[in-house]
Amino acid sequence: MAAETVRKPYVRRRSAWWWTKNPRYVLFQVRELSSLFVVVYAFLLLWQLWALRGGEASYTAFLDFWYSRPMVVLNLVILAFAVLHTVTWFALTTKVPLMRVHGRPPPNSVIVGSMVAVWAVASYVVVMWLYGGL
Amino acid sequence: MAGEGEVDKVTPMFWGLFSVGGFVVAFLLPVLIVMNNLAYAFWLVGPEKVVYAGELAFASFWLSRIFLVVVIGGCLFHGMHRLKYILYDLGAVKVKKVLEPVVYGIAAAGTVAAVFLAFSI
Amino acid sequence: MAGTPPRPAPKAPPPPPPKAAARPPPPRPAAPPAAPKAGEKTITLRIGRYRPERSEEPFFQEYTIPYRDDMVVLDALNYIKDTLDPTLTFRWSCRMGICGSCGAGVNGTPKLTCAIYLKDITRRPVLVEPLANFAILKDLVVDIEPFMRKLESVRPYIVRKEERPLERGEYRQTQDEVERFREQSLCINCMLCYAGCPVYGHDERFLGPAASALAFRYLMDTRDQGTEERLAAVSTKTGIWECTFVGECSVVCPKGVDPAGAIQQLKAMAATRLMKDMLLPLASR
Repeated sequence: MAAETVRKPYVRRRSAWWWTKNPRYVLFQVRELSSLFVVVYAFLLLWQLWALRGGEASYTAFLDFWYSRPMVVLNLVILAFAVLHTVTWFALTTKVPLMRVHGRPPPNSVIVGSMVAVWAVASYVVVMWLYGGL
Repeated sequence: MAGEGEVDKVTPMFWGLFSVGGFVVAFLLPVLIVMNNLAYAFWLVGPEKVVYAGELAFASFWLSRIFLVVVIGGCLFHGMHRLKYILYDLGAVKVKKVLEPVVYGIAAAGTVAAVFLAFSI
Repeated sequence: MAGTPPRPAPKAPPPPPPKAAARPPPPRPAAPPAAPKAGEKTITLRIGRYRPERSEEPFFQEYTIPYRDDMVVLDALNYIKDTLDPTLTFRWSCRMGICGSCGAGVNGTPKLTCAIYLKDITRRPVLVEPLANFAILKDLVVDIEPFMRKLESVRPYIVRKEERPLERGEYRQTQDEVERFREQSLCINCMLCYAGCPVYGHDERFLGPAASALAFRYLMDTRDQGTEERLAAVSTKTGIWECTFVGECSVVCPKGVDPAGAIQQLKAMAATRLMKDMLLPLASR
């Protein structure tokens, strides 16, 4: 007598710590977390513009807060995440070729190299033209 | 069933903004963070650039206004789109219909505020 | 002809030797010789089991087997099934990384069991589980039906607006044109990418890497004219827009298909097409 077939697919539940099991998942979460700091910075900029619009007294008060130690530390943290974003973003763009040569995209070094060049030029323009140099 | 039928026409638009914002943040944010705070904090520039008069001069320049709007808008549309997916991962996908307008609404409101502030200083 | 000497009558063939009475084949040894000979190396595997007719929950079972440097995980599974435990159930076929049948989680990483050497696994005991993110049917066998439906949903065949008559000959392609989709054409449907994808891990309706890469393979094929319907098939709410570019799918793929890259390119294609449709609605008519 054949045994009766029992079909009872078992669905495994995923632990909330699934992303700790693999270094690439951890990097992914940190990379995505950079978005939170980017949003925070946007709101800090809005606050800064608002304080500036409020006149000299308002902005001077803002400056006391802006250059306090916790804020400088926060800016360093945000910078770290911004750089992480830049680095991972450049790496990710190598996966979406905008052009193909003989069916293949250009080598990664060329793609990343041109991105870094644009970043350097943009940074230079910002420092020299908008901020009048160091 | 795979691919629930209906084509999503909304997400691609925000993905496009997210991509453009991603480039804006990648190219422009690091230098801005340095010049806007760390440069003075670490003695790379003098106080004359940082006090009210200096900052006002910076913000009155037409290119700076555009720059600020682009950076703020880019940060918001890029960051909120990504934050949305982080929240989905944490289970908020159940309130998708409410979360999406809120997330993009904040980004849009912030960008409008940036235009208003940057061009009225 | 007269006078021909008679040929000697052929000798009768010798009678066959008496057959031994038919004996039943020797019984398998009740306690199989799993104990290694003195000095022989052994290895222990901890394997995920699930017997739906016996229990509600999956469990693990450990087996210790003789070990040789050239064994892959599949060799170990087959040794166990052949000599220790015939009830162990798992999929396999070609044992050379082309059929896509033998996917499993080896030490937490999706692998083809025929393609990973025991000697390259550092953890002891070696952990072998059913492929992650899939429902378990029995032991290491997972339910692949939803995956098959997803593959079908992207219309994985050349779609033509107008068929070309046979007399006009074959569709010709240059090497460069083939190169545009060659990587994605290498997919063996092994589903390791789904096991690695965290998005699929929390939403089983997600179209997923392999199905999306398959759509991309046809979109990039110059012979295909089904761009619109294929982009529509992948641009649904459970399609490519759920992807957050973790990239694990491309890391675990044993054939270098790069589904992550394919999906990002699909996003760009779908987004640009949408913008074109919105801004220049009459252009494509």
